[in-house]
Order: sequence, then C-alpha cells, then structure tokens
Amino acid sequence: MATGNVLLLLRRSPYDGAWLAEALDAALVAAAFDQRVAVLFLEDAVFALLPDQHGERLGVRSPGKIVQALADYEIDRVYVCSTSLANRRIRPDSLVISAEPLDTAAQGRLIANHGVVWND
Amino acid sequence: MSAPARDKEGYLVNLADWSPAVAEATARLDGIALTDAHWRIIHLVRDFHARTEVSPAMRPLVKLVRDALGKEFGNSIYLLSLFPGSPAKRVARIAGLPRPTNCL
Amino acid sequence: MKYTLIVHSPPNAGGGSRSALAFARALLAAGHETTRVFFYHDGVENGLAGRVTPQGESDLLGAWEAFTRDTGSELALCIAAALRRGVLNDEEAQRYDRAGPTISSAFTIVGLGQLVDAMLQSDRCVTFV
Repeated sequence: MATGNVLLLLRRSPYDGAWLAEALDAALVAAAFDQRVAVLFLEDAVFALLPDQHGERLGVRSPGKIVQALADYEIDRVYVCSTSLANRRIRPDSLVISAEPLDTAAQGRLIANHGVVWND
Repeated sequence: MSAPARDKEGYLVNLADWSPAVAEATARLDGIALTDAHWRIIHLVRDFHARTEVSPAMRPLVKLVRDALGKEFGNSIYLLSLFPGSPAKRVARIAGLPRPTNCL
Repeated sequence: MKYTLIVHSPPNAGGGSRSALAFARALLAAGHETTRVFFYHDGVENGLAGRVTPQGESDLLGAWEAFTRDTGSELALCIAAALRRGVLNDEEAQRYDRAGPTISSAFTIVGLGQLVDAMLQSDRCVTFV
C-alpha cells in the first residue's frame, strides 16, 4: 500500500460534539505529513459545508471554517454525496468551499481507488 | 498592562487576551524583538486563523507566506530566521493562536 | 499482513471497542501482524484508568491491558483527543496543572502523525466506529 493516498469519509453533523472538527484535524495532519488526502462528506456532515457558521456562540470551533483550511493544506480533492445534499435541500453551488458532488456509484469508485480509507 | 494567563509553554489561555503588546511580550520571552518582517507573518497567521480556526502547521504556513508575499519569504529558511526553532509553534504562540494540533 | 486498527468507539457506547479487541486477537491468531491499535475521538476513553466494571459484565479495560501484555502490541491514544477527554499521562497532567495522571499504564499517548505513519506502513487499515 503506502501510496500516501488517504480518503476520509466524514459523516457526523458539525456540532455533534467535537467529532467532525477532530476528523478534519486528522485530515489536516495527514496532509501536513505529506500524504495526498481526499475527503468525502456524507450524511449530516454535509452541513459543515454551509457558509456563515458561528460555533463560537456555542463555545466550539466551526467546521464550516475549518474546511476553509483544506485548500491551504493542499487538500483539493473534496467530494460530497449528492444524495445527502439533495435530501437536505442543499444546492451544491451554495457551499462554502467547492466540493464535487458524487453519486453512490462514483463514491464506490473513489473508495476503491484509495489504499487507506479512514471511516469516521 | 497586567500579564494575561498563559499555559506552561507560553500559549495564551484565553485567545481574546491577545494584543500587539502581548505579542511583543511573548516574543521577548523567546528572545525575539519583533520587526515589521515578523509582523507581516503574524498578521498573515492571525487572518488565516480568523478564517479557518486552524493554527497552521509548517507546510501550510510556508504556503500561506509564499502566496501572500512571494517565494523570497515563503520558505522555511526565511521563517526559521524570524522564528527560530519551530516556526509554526513559535509564531502561533506570539500571534495568540492555539497550539498547533498534533504537536507532542 | 500488517494491520492498523483505529478505534473511535468509547467503552460504553457502541460495540466498536469490543469488536476491535476481538478482531485484533483473531488477526494475531491467524498469523497477521498488528503492532499498534490507535484510539481517536471518544475511543481514547478506552485508556481511562480507574474504571470499575459492574459485576456480571466483562472488564474491557482489563481485557485491553491483557491484550498488550500478551502480544506486545501498543495501545496508542491521540494526544489532542485524549487531553480533551481528560485522559492524561504524568507529563500532560503536569503540563496542564491537573491533579495526576488518569491513563491506564497499558496505554501511551502519541501524536496523530504517528497514526498517519502507521496507516501508511500497513497493508490494511480498519476503523471501528
């Protein structure tokens, strides 16, 4: 394996404790350690891609802000489940960063193409 | 100015306590006298943190500086000259950012 | 094959921790290798010492401790996740002025980078959510 090719599957809602912020930190650390990292937002994790988040009012970090660091860590392969978006009435062009919508078949190919998959 | 609370490694307990004067004081603890060159980097990382709530690790720090100021400044040798030792940690401490994650 | 196991489940929610332990034992019995089990998210609570198991239930902490004693596999907690949940070794307890360590001596605290490193050096990476 050791391709340096890591995919993180993110599922948790952005304010479900620290879970999603921690998962994003894991993605950033992997990238900082020279790995090629991709992330796929699924289910309630897609809410992290909505703009104008103010976690500070809850006393926590905002996943909607942390995702804006992905590009600075050279994580430019950001994917989002198109069904999860549609079920929540979120338009792909309303997201805070650009993320490529994938249907389930494309998600399957994405997962198959990665040596290491972190299921979160 | 009363000194703000810091942890044992000099990071601010409350990030809101940061001010330019606090930065100067923190830098002095590290034996650094802040110049305009330092301040440009400090403002960059503070803007980055305001946008992302992330304290940049070394590689993204280099990229951040390179994108904003050019190759001449966006390299680890230059950053080491301003913030010796571990630039990512040191600049986070002086700029009033949280300790970068993963630093053991 | 070389396996890296990652445990996200805490001891008292979900079944991930018990599954991971059974899986790790089965791997080694089948001749595979797992040099490290990583704990992240709420999974770091598996390393919290001083947990008391009610009578009639099996002692999960004791079982992890026995696993590392029997096999030499390392049980590694991510530092950022561990600090947030109060699982501290001596060094961290001192660094943050806490009364004392709270970690079981069978576990160690590591940086996330070490997890990244282990993932890349293994043939399989299995997450227990």
